Amino acid sequence: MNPRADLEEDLRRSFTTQASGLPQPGGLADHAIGAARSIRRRRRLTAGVAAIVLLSGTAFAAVSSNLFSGTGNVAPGSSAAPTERPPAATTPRLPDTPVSNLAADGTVSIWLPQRQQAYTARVKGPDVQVKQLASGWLIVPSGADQQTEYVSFDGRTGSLPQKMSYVAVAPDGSRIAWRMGSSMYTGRVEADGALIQDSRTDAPPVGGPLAYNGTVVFVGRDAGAGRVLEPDMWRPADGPFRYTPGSKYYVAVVPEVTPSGEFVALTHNPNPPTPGAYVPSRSPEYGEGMLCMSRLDPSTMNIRSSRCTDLHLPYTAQLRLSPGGRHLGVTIRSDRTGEHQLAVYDIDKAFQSGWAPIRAFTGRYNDLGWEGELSLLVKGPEGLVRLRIDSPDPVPVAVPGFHYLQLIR
Amino acid sequence: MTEGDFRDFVATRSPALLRTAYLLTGDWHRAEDLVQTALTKTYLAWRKLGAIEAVEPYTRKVLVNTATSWWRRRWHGERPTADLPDRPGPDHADDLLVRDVLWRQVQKLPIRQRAVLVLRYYEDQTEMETARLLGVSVGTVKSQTSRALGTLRTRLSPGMADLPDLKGAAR
Repeated sequence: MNPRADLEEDLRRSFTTQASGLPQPGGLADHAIGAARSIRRRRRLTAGVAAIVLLSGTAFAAVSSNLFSGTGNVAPGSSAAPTERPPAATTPRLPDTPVSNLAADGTVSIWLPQRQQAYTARVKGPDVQVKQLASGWLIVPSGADQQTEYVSFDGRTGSLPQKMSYVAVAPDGSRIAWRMGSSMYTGRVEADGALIQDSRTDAPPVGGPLAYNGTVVFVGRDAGAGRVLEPDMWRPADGPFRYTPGSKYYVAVVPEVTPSGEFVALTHNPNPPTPGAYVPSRSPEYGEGMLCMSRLDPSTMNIRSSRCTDLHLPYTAQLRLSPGGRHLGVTIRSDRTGEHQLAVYDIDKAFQSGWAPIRAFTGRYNDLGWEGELSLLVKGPEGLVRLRIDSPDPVPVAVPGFHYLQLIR
Repeated sequence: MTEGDFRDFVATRSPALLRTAYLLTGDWHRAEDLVQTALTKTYLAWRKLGAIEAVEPYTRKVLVNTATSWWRRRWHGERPTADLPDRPGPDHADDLLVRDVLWRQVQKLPIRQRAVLVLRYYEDQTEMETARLLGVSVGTVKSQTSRALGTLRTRLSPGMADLPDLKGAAR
């Protein structure tokens, strides 16, 4: 037993517990922008007054100088306050994808480019999750007092009787797992929006369902930027949720579920670090800090097969499987080099012969979604672009009228 | 980068910033003020930051440095804990009790030591990244961590004997 390690572990748990369930105030961006503009106005005013004082003083000095010396000094031009340009207009963009979602002025909308169809939900943003089901979408607000809303593909809307969080959708698009209060549930959403509950268990103090294959719920704390902390599993058929020994550290990034129900995850390579090599984390469970792509046994969540990569423990990372489960898109930012990369792998070949991407794109892409087996949409600093794995050139995708958007999964 | 990018950043990252701010300040309202201040400073520097990946490190640095400067300026006695928001997990009372004792002791640490602990054990930042965020050397991070853990261990030793085993309660 290592007392230091125990105290460190207790600290992690204490911090996690304390930081969970905090309210999320709205309007932070508006307040920050308003306050910043006010500060700029004050700075301009101060600079303007200073300029006037300086000019007056200089003019007085010049006049005085003229009066007393008779030379024709010219007051030097004083530097005026920095020119304030209006904020650059936000370029509205939206993908021409099967589905995308966005929040504009707090109202959540969903856009179907193929059908040229837009849906507007009654739920207010900005912190909402939209989950795609087989028959529509679940719109899950972050506010503890807000109901989850269901929007069907034919435009019908309705509120679910539960205030959900941590919603994970199984590959069949109808079965879901979610958290509400201190419980976790599995169930299914019918085509008319009715929610049928199948099972319930006590939830861990923090976190909840992050992925669900219809049988096993992958549970964890969403640490942001795709990372997972305290991963675990719940198999409702086996009874209540219990912590799984030994599962704590190895999964690094929220896994994807293949159409056949298998979990694919980025896991930590447990090998000890090479002497002198860069080690991004102090936790011995992270080993050398490199990542492996692993298939997880859905019964135990243990690693069934694994191929280690040359990717480092990520600062941000996302995995997205193509609809048919053939290709895996990975966005990653190395915390060592700061480089961003989007790599596409043929998943079967990668597990057989190694993780050489069939296509790699350099760019700061922080969200991605597949349009099919060969084309994906990514969100980057310039807005949305379409990338094809058979072409090196990104194609900008713009749809007017939208402001803040996310790709729906 | 546009104003829309800033709104995007705030929408996606403010929950994580608020959690960190809460752990640094121990007070929800102060945490909100802290995040608001950090975001305002971020927006003021928005055009100078250049690339979106520079934003979050900048904001985090401002957040931590603002917290430490507030600490220096204000009274910093023991923080009240009566107003903590409700959290899930009523079935883990023993576990929460142990962590609450630890949390109260963490709040009594000097702000720099607390910041080091939060960055290292909540955010899982490396020693190098923690040093960069705090503007100190890696050696300072190591010594602050060691000192903070030593203080906590000393303060918790007598009380912990009467409390349930954390591992057993958690697992």
